[in-house]
Amino acid sequence: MLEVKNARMLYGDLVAVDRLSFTIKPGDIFGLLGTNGAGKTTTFRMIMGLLEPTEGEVLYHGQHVGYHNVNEIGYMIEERSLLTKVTVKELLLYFGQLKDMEPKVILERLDYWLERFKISEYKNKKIKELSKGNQQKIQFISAIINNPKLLVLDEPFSGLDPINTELFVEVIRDFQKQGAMVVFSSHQLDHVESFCEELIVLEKGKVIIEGRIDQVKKDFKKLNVKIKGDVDPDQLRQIPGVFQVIENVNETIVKIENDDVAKRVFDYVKTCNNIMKYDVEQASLSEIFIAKVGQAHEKV
Amino acid sequence: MKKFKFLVKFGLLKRIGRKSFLIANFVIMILSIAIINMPAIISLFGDDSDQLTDITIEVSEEIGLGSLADDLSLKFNEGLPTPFYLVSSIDPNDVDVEAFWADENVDILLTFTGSTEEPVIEIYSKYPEMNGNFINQIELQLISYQLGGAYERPAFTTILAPDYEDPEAGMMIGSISSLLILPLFILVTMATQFVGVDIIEEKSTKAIETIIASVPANTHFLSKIVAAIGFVIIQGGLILFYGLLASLVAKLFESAPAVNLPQGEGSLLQYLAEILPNWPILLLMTLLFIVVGTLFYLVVAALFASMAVTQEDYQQFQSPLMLMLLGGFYIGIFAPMAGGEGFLRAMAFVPLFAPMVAPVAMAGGSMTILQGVIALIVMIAFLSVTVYFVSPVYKVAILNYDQTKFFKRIGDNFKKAFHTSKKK
Repeated sequence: MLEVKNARMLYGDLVAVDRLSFTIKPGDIFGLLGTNGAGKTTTFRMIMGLLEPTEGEVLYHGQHVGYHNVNEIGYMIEERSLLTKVTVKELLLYFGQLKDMEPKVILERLDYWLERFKISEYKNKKIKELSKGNQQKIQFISAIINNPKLLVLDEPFSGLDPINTELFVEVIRDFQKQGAMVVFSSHQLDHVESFCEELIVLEKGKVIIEGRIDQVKKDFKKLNVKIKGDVDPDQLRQIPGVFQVIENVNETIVKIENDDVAKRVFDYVKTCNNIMKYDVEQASLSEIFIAKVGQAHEKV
Repeated sequence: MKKFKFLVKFGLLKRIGRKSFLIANFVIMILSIAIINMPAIISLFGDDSDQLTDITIEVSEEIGLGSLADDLSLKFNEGLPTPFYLVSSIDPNDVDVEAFWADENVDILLTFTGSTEEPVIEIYSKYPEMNGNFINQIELQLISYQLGGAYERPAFTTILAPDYEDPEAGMMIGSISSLLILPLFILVTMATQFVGVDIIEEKSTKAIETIIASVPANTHFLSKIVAAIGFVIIQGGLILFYGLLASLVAKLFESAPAVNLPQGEGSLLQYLAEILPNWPILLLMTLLFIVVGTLFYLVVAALFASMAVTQEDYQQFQSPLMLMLLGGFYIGIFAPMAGGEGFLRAMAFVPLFAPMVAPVAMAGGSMTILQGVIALIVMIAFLSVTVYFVSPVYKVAILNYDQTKFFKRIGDNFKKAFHTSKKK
């Protein structure tokens, strides 16, 4: 279990992270979201023991994260952090042995992961000769080569195409099935929504959203009604509780305050012709994120 | 410990396992051989007028051996394709030592007095480096005269010109400065670059974050220093080997009579031992200064590299270090030539310059061994204080990507390190 307890990190007068608390249990995938400079990387560095919190503590299975238990953790930083003048094999042997792994085991696992990520032919190529996407794969492999029980991933999907993103997601899910804890950050909120159960959204070091994703959505209350058919947007806007109507080519999206408003919209739609779709959905994580971060900015 | 050993091994192999290391060493080997044999190489292609083509020897004998001059001529020129030693006999009454020293046409004057059994030989020579050879040859000749009788070693006296200054000894003392400083300067510069470039490569690519997540910053710091020292030892050993190889090549040139090299009396080491009778202590002190000095410069280089963010940044950061090194190098080379003994001695106590200046000051006699020991203790104390302060700063700076100005960044890193230590 990973426990972040009331962690606070100050850089001089600047509060980088303010009293952050969360717990991740084995098999959990936890999302840490926020705008640039929100405090995500500082939080990851605190988890990794690279930074000591000014106040509070970070515990991994009841112990502080240190060099005695770091071999059980896999860490992938936001920017590419690879030695570019060495080959893929040399680099993984280097990083693997820093995790106390035997060279033979590293090479066996390397072959497996290169095969799985479909880049076996690059084993003896220098890192600088690889494309950005392939470098990202190598960096991901370097984080998982030690079969970590805790996987800390800072922006693992940045720069990846949808196919490779899906490959990463599959691997992360495999680690989840094996009981590993995964904590990651991403700007691609659809990914967070698709495979993350719990999250925290940080803004300027403070928590503005936290909890299970379904609960966060439920608490947000605002809904989206998607309609396909001959509707009049102006009439929709006049319904009390409708705060926005978006006219797309194929459908009209009506943003409403709560369930009661959905009934009023439905009453109007029943009077219209050629209705092919009427769907009430919870707000997307992206919408919640924008709304909450916007509020936080307004408060500042 | 396992990770430390691995980091040292990885750092060393990364450096010496590369093609560039092999190429650089091949070039150093060729240059060493060429530089050490430069006079001989030049003489092969140069003007013959500066070279010795013959040695004129006058023999005055009062012991009743009429054929001594002819016999010595045969002995001296034995095995040479053409006569090199032109030996002639002169009347003992015509011996005029003052005139001999002034006479450019005569190189050596030998006077034999006493008897065949108890000869007394005086050698007046303008080429004292050849005396050893003459003594051996004359001794052999006299033994042949004494066959059948009891052998008594002749009494030899060698007399040098009143104003004679041994050019070899002067040159040797002068070249000791270069001999000591140049390899040290090259090795420290290489090691400093090695540590700096290695750290900045890991930092600028952000690989350092993955590395420091696995090993403590202090282990990383020490492993870099140890790997660099290992590199210095390997590279230093190779340079020594190239020197020996070059000396072997020099021996080949030495066998040519036209080349004026010291002959007969013994090896170069014996000659050095004559000039520097305390050479074993001097060598030990020099090695200690090399180790402590290299460590000091490596620690500072590691600190600067940890504060830099990019390769360009590091070039700027390492400039003061290179200037310090260069300062020590020039002081060590030029101060003895300029006769600045006091200045040299004073600089030998300054830890920044001591590694290069102190060995030269001791070799040149500007500094006693005791003073050298004191300078070494000061240097070790300074190194210990440096490590004490640098170690926590390195820990803070290595993960800091702040790109403010040079002095501000140094100040900030020291402040952060101080706050972190205080908090603990």
